[in-house]
Amino acid sequence: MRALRVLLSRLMQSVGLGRHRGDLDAELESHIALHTDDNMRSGMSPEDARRAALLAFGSAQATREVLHEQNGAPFVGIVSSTVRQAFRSLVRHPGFSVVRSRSTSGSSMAWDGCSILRTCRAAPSRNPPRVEPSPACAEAGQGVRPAAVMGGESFTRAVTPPWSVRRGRCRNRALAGAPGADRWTCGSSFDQAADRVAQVMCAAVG
Amino acid sequence: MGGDQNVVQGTLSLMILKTLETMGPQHGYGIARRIEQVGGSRMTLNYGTVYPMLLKLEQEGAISADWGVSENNRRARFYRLTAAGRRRIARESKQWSDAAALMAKFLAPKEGG
Repeated sequence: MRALRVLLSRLMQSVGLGRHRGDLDAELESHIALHTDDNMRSGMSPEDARRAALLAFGSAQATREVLHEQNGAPFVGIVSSTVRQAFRSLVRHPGFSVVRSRSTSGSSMAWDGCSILRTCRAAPSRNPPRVEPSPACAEAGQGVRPAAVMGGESFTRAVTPPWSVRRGRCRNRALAGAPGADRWTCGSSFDQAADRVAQVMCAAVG
Repeated sequence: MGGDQNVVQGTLSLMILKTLETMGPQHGYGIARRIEQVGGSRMTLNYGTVYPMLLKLEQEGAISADWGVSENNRRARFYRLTAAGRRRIARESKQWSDAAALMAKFLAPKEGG
């Protein structure tokens, strides 16, 4: 029950109904000001009083980061940005249905890690489009297969698991086995690389 | 939180709730000062650690908060206990008492020793 309440509170915050960042920062500033006043009353100079207040507080930056992290619902941001990306793809690549690409090999997390779901404008189709794995993909024991086709309807479902975004190291490794992804290195952004994969897949299917 | 005595994890929330029960509505600075005073030399408190816990308690519904003006005419966010917070104090206080009583039995000198 308590966890549910926290989740609700964080969700409310993420849609602008909770405490905003400025409010949290203002509270920390207010704390420093109150402590500085107390220190000055005990005979410190204003500079010393503020310095002592900051010291007693500890790392204000770290506290701020913890509060911001605790206050928001980061997954909402990730999902909303992925949905935006999917809509952009929808406009750019009309002509075929929903294709979800993922690993067919249980041994590799590459495709599951990125789980790109690209949505293109729906074209009535009873037969799911087939995308052949690239040689590199096949060599790695991975394949690419469409998982969902929604004939005749625009269908958007975008999932980018947080772990693929949060990883500090080469994020595009998740796309390494994808067709067309070979010319994309770690230097390009995840979205750029994902776009490229979507383009190649659209071309292959269309 | 640190100092000579490490405070068992999870105790800060109860300290905050108990402080609010004893003193009534308080801002974060007042709560931190009070905890430090009660802890005395046995405990040191980084004031910054209080705020994430206040936010957590607020999200859990144990406390509520509103902006107000302090006795020094400073704008401050005042926290107050909710009904859920009072129930939580009662529940957690009992848990602590039971745990302390149990440990006391183990730590007491052996009978006939």
